[in-house]
Amino acid sequence: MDYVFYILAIWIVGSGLLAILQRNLVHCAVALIAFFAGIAGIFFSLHAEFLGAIQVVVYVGAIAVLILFAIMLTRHVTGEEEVSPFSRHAIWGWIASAAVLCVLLYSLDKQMFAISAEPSQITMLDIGNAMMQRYAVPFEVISLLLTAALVGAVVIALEEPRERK
Amino acid sequence: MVTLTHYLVLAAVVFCIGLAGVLTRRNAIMVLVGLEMMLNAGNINLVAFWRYLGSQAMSGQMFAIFAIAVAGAEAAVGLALLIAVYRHFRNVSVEEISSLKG
Repeated sequence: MDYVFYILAIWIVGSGLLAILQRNLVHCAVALIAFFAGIAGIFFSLHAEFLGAIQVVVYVGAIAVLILFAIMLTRHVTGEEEVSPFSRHAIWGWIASAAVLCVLLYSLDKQMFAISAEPSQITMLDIGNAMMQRYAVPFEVISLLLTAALVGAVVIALEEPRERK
Repeated sequence: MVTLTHYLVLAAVVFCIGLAGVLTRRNAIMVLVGLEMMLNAGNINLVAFWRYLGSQAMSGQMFAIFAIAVAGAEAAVGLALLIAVYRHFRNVSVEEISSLKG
């Protein structure tokens, strides 16, 4: 089963780099869809099937389409960006993220985790029960937050009337 | 044998790709894309720790579910803000939108 992880890792890193590096924004969005699908695969390989399905529905389905819509509303449909991510003033961004990567890998190298012999496994039934019992309050709060955010998004994006009569 | 560290290294690499996107791209939409990638890296970490640190607790998965919900709200509000900004400036380049600069 090991090769599944390596294939997914190469897939994710490759599509993530494509999404970051391409100049054409629509191509970036397509690479981003592949990236999100790869993350869903990682969730499946970790036996978090519910999360994998959620990832496909929310990210691959909704957020990717939202980003595509935003690209098409703010640019011409096949809009090219005028500045390449390889330009001179972007170098500090690359240096900073490489430094963060070095720090993360160094701290991972130093760390030992108490791995349990028995990998956790929960079913969708457990998640449903937890949502309605132990996590009932956070569940309601998150639904309120989502409602407020969506209403706010509509209000912000709505064109203000030119003249009120 | 794929261990917890494999997943953590993958998440670190994904996080830094997203960070590079946030720092190097000039289009505000691409900055949001980088942000989403960083959030996904965090979710990988949560689920990997849930899987490998055992003890039938499900907080790792529940946290990831709530993180995805918050990320969805963030994406919706962020893109709505970008559309409003575009309507005002006819541009979403983070370098052109500098009215608040003294």
